[in-house]
Amino acid sequence: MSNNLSGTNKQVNILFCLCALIIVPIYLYGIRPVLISLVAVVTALICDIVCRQIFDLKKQKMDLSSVITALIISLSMSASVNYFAVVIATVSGILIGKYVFGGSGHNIFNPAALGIAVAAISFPENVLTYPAVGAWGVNANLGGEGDIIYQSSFASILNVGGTPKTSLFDIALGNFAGPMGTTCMLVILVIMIYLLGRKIIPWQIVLTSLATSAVFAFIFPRLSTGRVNSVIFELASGIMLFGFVFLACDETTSPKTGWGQVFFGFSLALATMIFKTVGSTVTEVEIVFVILLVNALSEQFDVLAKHLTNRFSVLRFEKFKKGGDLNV
Amino acid sequence: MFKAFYKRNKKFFKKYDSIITNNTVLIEGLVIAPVIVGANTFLNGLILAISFMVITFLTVFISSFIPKSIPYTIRVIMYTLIASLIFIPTAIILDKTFPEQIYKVGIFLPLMVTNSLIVTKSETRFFRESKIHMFLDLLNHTIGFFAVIIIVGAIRETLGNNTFMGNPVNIPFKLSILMLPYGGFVLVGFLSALIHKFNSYLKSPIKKEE
Amino acid sequence: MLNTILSGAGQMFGYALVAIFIENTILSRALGTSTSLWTIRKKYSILLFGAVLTIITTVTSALAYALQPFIKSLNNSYYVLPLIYVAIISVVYILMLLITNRLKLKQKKTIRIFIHRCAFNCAVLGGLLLSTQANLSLLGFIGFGIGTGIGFTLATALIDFNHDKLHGEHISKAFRGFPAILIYIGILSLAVYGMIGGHELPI
Repeated sequence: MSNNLSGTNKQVNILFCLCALIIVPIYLYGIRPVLISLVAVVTALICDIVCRQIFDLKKQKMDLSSVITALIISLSMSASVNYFAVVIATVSGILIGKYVFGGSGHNIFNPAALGIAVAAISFPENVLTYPAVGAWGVNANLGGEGDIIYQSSFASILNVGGTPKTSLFDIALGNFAGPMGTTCMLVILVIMIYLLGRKIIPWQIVLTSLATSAVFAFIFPRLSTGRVNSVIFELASGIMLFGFVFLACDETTSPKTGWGQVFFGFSLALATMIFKTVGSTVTEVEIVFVILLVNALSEQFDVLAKHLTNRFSVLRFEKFKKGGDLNV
Repeated sequence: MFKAFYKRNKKFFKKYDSIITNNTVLIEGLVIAPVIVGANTFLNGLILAISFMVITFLTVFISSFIPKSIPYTIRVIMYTLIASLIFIPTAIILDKTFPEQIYKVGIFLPLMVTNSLIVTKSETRFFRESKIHMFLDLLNHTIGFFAVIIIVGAIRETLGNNTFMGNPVNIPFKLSILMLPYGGFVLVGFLSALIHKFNSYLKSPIKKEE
Repeated sequence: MLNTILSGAGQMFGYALVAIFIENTILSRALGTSTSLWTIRKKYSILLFGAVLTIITTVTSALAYALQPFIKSLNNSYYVLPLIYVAIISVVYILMLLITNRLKLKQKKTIRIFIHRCAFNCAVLGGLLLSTQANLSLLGFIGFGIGTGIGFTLATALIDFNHDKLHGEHISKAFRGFPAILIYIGILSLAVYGMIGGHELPI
């Protein structure tokens, strides 16, 4: 019996998880994360309505993909981000990343990854600087200016060869400076297990990318307090874990075959870790640029997988499952 | 109304198609590099546009007198050598007119010497026409390029750098990503789509008025 | 002796990597885009075209380096640089055609078409001008030349991988084909810029 959920059902589940992720930043930064997410979602909906007219896609079924894109973008932003940057990110992602290439289900690149990339390059001082947790609380200056105390994130500390001094407890609860919705490791891990359990995201991508980045961080630590610490901080920095779960596993832009997904996850994680170590200009969000590149290669990963499993039938994934169709 | 006028005079408009409906850059896809990477300010766009017009025009015109009995390879080499010679006075005059500017366009000014119109299109299109038609066709191609590159340069400088010809412009936002090649590719892509849409509109049947 | 060879090879490899990623002919400079699209449209072998282009860029780079002392001795070399480099490319163009005619190759006719197309490509002249601007050593020139060709091949392959998706019926008619391809290349250009090339100026 197939355990596959329908497309809409999967989207509803992912949306539910993203909404759950907004709760933690409310506790950390006050009401602003909600406003930023609202701005993103409203922009996304307006974009959808306008673009469906301009691109003659009125016949295409309306779905939740734009809302999901908007939430992913807003959760990857800094809590002190300008509303304009959020709007530009959402419009770029949805207009250029999704509708130009044919709308829902046909896009080549992950729209959220494109939106974050555009925002990070256009407004780096706004998007990539993070306020200290709890610096605002309920009396937050909602305009985004005023006396905000900025703090270095893990990624920027690791980039200069330093060692972050945050306890495991704080890391689990997201009590450190970083992108709004991607710091609470515990919640993201729980969501990851839930989505994997319900087969909404492919385990091949998630586990391969996690394993690859962990092994890389273990072999090439950038800090001085041990290899295990290196793994923890590297995975907690920027939007790594969040990116593996929500950006890399997008159904439309990732490979369809099992081994294709493994190659995809491996390339994504390896390239991201290499560029983090070598030192890139956009410290926090290298993963989105790598995702854009590997999205272009998704189909080729599938072709490679088909060649591999045609030659070595022992590698077919359905051998590890009881029953199930011949779907490598 | 314009659509009806266009359809009635299609033959006339076809002579000028390289300006809009079959634009050199946006539809034919020739000489894209200077527009996308070189023209990130209005002045850069203007310098590249003028140099393109002068070099291409003079080179193709002079090359049209080269006898076709000479082998193809040698002919093409002669075209580019002529272009390189015409480049020298062009670059000197541009340098005098726009001091300190030609270095800002970097390699894209010398690259005009090997542009597709001189190397390929001359053989496949221009030299097969009579001298007067060739003159007109060349003019249309260069005007088409000129229009696109200065528009792109103006948009990118105004919105991406909040300046125009070096002078600050009061715009409430700044999209610095327009100054990158990504901005150029996306902008030219959208302009190309606009022309495609315009062409579809011209080709669509005229709705009967009630 | 071995050390010198290895360090030389390493240096050359380094410059090749710069030409492939940071200063990619198509993705960072849009040079040779129309040739790239021509190769894909006519369904020619991208590897073969890339190989021909790489040979041309490498040989012209080596010859261009040989003339650097002469170029540096000139006043206002900026103005005569295109003339000198076009002369070098012409020599290589003729030589390649002569050698291709002599050799027994399976795809002689196709290779000849490629040589005609590659010779005065913006990618070739552009690579030479960039190397000169950066004042590279011999290994730098050759490495950059090899990297230009390989970078062009990789970028063309990337465009070809999704060629069908960019011409599909699902894309709005106005964007189908050329506009979608341009925006696709633009996004790849952004990806490469974000990953590596953030240190370079647009020109």
